[in-house]
Amino acid sequence: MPSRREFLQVGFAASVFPFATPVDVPSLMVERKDIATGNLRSLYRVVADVRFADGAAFGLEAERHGLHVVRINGDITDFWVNDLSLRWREEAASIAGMTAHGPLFCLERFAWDHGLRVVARAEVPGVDEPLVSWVIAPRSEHR
Amino acid sequence: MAIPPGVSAQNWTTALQQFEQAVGKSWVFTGDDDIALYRDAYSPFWGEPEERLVAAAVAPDTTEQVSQVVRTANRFRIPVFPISTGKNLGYGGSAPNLSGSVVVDLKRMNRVIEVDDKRHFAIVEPGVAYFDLYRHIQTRGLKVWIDCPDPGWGSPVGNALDHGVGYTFGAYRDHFHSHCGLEVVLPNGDIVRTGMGALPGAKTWGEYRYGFGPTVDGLFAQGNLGIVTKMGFHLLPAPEAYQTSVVTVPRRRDIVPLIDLVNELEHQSLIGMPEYSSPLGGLGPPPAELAALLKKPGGATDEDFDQYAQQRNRGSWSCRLQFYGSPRVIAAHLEHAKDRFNAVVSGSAFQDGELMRFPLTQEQLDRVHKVAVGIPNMAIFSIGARTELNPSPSDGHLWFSPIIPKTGEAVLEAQRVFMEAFTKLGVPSMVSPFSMPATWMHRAFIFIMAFPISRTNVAQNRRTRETFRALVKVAAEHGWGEYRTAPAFQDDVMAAYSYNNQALLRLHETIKDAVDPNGIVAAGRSGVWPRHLRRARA
Repeated sequence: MPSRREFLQVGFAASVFPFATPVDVPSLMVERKDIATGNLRSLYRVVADVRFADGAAFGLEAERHGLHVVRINGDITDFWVNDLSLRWREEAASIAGMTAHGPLFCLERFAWDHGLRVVARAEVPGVDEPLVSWVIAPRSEHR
Repeated sequence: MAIPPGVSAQNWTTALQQFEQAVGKSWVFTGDDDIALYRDAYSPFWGEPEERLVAAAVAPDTTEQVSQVVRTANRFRIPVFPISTGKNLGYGGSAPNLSGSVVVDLKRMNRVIEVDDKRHFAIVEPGVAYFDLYRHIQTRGLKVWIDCPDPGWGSPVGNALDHGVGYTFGAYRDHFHSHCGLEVVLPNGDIVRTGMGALPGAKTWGEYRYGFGPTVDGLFAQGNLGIVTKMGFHLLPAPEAYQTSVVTVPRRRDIVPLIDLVNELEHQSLIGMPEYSSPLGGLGPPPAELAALLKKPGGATDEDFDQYAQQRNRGSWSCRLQFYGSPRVIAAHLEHAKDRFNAVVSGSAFQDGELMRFPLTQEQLDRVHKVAVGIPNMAIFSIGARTELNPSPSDGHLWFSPIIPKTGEAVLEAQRVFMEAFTKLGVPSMVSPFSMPATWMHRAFIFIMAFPISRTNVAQNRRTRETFRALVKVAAEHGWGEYRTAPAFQDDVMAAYSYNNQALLRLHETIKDAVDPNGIVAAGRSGVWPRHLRRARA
């Protein structure tokens, strides 16, 4: 069983790779070396739910890898209205994140309307709040 | 791939080809992954055989394409179920009443046809979301507000057609009431415009809703006689400023004059939506002394509650009043409200909020209730997270929404009746002596409750359905009916509207048979089934 710290790092790794098939996130939890080699540029944004310590740590980890992190307090409105909805009008850009279920629920449904799907999803173990590590990517990337 | 009920494989194949010809191959969805998106995320039948599932989805881009799709469906007797943006969570999502229906997904029809900030109206297509209309208005600097529900990703058209409601002024909060003119594709593919829209070249489609002759618009709200492809709305002229004030009254029986006075203010259009609460209520378990009071043999008396409130220097009931207009108008309306309360309810106290002038500062935006000032948002989804007070967040919810009169007596009666019903049913009560109704409706209250739904606990969902159906009957016995419900309960709710041997339902069925003889559009919506399925259900 990985430590929470390891999961945050590896969960992050799981979040930043474009996947050719639906992702088995647990299997990725042992691939820590991938963190350093992943194609980080394929992500448009990383969403961190900073109401929770693990979400905030996830955001820091993503930032350490040079990614553009959007910090939310559970409400995706500003991110959606002022950023993501505009981008997705132009292009089905991949995003990843670690959030509570509520924000992911919203982003997933917005994604459906723009031809994207949740291609990886795993609950963060060992924390009180059921945080989810996830990736949203164009439909074709997981077919 | 599922096939719609009663349709041969050959006809289904031909129909899909014709759908593709109408809308383009990439806009006809039959794959499992794609049609799974149309499941009701909050289905009370999640994973059970009774869950309402679709056979396919078709996404037209124009009214003419909708017409072609409907003509094909009618030719092959394929049931279709239109959705706009397909949210409607807690009331059925985008799932149909009849499994095997083809969803006509109107999200691509997302054009804002017109917004006028001098005559204060908009005309939009069903795929326009509140966010889209708000953005359209803001980017052009137009001086009108929208009235939106929580959350803001829904469609003004879809929400209005479901009798959805919002948060500002009464005339605008009832979204179907504020509609003005429809364009509808009928089950035979014919395209109809109502109100002034029936007049070619009309200049007032978004302003005068009646046109000439009988008004038929209401038949398409919660109805199944056609697919609405355009809709007009009256909009609120942007006010200069906004202020709230919370009035608190001391005694339990003060709920009666409190609501009477707020009704007076609201029905005179001096305030926007009032929001009631009780300073004695709240989330989580009650304090020990209050818990003991609630368990008192024979029930706590009004005097008991008054004493409890007085000892803690709290009032019994509060109402947040919302004022809109110029600062001078707001000041005058607020002063009038205080005069009325001081004259009628001794001990009433006001706590005024900040007068906010538009445009709001970012700091004001961060703390204002955004929908109260016409700003769509998704914040509602940030409050369902696991917390100390909410240790087991559910996977969704069902709204139980009985309409009760706008009186204090009715609120107290509803509290008592539903608490007794929960006790009788042997399930934890969702109502307390401090429960207050929702006030979205302009002229009635909704004594709303949210029943949790599970993705994994079938037994819990079954108990919830049983409780829900029992409460529909309890409500009906007291003259309260639900204004809206999920497909799973629409037959139950329609059955409660039973005056004169179901005369209303019989009228709906007569109209349905005449307008949609093949019964292809939204079969079963609001409990109105086409003849061939009615027989099967009889």
